[in-house]
Amino acid sequence: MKRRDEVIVGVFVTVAIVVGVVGTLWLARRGFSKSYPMYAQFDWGNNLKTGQPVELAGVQIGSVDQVTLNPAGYLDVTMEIEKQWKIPEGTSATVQNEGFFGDKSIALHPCRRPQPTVGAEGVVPVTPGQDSTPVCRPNAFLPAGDTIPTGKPAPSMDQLLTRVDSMSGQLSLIVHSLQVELVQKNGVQDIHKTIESTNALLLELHKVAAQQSEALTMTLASIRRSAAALDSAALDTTVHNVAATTRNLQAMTAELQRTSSRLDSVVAQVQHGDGTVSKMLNDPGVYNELRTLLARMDSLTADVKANPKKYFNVKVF
Amino acid sequence: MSASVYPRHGGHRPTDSFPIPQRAAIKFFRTVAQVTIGIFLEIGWRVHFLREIMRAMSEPRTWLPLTIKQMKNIGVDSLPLAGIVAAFIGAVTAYQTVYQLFPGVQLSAVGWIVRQSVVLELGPLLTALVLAGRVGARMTAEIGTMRVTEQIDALETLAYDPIAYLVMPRTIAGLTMVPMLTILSIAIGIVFGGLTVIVATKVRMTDYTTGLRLTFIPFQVYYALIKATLFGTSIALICSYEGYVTETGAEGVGRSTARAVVISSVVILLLDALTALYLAPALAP
Repeated sequence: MKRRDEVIVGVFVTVAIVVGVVGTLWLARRGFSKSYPMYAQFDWGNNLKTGQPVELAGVQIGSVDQVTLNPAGYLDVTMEIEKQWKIPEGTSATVQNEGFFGDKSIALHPCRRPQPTVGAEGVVPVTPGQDSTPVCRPNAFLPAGDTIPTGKPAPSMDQLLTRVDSMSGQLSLIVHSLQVELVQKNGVQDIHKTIESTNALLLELHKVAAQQSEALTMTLASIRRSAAALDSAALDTTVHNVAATTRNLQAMTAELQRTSSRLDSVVAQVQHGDGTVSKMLNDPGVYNELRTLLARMDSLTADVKANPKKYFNVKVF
Repeated sequence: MSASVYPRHGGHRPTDSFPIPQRAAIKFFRTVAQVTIGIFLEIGWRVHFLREIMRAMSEPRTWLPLTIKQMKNIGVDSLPLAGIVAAFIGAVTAYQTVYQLFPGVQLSAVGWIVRQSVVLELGPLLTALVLAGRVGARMTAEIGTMRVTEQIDALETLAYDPIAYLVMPRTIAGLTMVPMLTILSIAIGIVFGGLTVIVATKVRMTDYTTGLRLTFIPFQVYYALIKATLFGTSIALICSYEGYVTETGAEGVGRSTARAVVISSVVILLLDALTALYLAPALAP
């Protein structure tokens, strides 16, 4: 026996024992990170087992260390939470499904964070939810070894299956009703008839549309023919003449406007001015004098007619 | 102790010498008697061998110095083979498991399945079967050759107890080193399984380690160690015994070696089933 063999065997045995002990502890203690215990109580039948993850807001912070059956109808669960994580006050624990096959984990639902300061730089304001989750108090955490209150549990696979079962029952009832309505009460035939009637109606509509389309086509063709028959040169001349007439009318209108304005000024002068015409129109004295003059003229004329020689004395030679 | 202590055949009056009407019945009863006696004889020889080992335990000055060498032969020298086997088992188990998962199953199931497979079954069992081939065959051949070359008789002549000198060191080495090898095999299998799926598939380190820790209880490791201890002891005892009772000639050594490997393999499987039968209920988390 060589001394070297003893050393090699010693090293081998030591390594094997260290690997065995360290590996077992690593698996059993869920790693070598320091942890502290927390407790929770759940109803029976939650399928909790050692090693299942404990998640705070979806982040794994520990694992289930021990599950004890409490005869009072509960499962007393000990969780090992990694030292680096603290659980805020107001947190509740529920058992949630992981995947479809009965895997479970413990979900810790933390309190709601306080509303961020309005206008704070880089903070997006969040509309507060309608749930009853309490708002976090700053720096308030559950002490190590405390019991986390239990929240409303997520529906289990059995409950989901029960719901699916009831839904499928209702679905089968609907299918049965449809079968009665459509098959037994000749609903399918009615539908067939309705479809046939609709098809016939559509055919009629199609025919009408075809006729209308034909008439429209003919009308358009007639319009096209009429349009083609028009002499474009004559039309141009007419349009030019109309345009010239329009221009003349515009010039005449402008001239009339100017004349009208002049007349307006003349009338204004007649009405308000000091001229002869104005005084003739506006002064009653002038009017009276004119009447008097006219009367005198009448008498003069009569006198002239009566006694022409009094006024005209024609002498020839 | 010599081979004559364990005679395999007794002398009987030939069946042909009896009257013809009696021959069939006599032949049948003689066959039944021979088989029954043979079974009990084999058991008796092994019990006697065990008793000799118990007796030899009282002579540590003879076997203790030789144990270290056997521990090196059985444990240290077998590590490369056991490690390669464990690495491939862990890697292949993990890789295959990934592709057996259908949608909805968590990827951590890979770590859990690899741990359960390697720790509870594949680690101890395949390490033991590999050792039955590598170490057990060597043990039987060594002791068998010493038997056929009458070295064992020479030891007896020199007042050495051949059981204490040859069998005890191997038994102690098997008893202690196979569990050590099993621990290392399990560790290698789990590590290589993890490396394989992390490198080659979408499984992440977190998934794998989460699965490894899921529903783990230390008794699972104790269970593997209990198995490994039983397997190691069986390999050492069976292979030493088969070598010790080797009949003359090189052919006898070969026959004993093959017989030792076959018996120890079957016994390992039987013990595996028995331990599962009795201890598996205690593995529930």
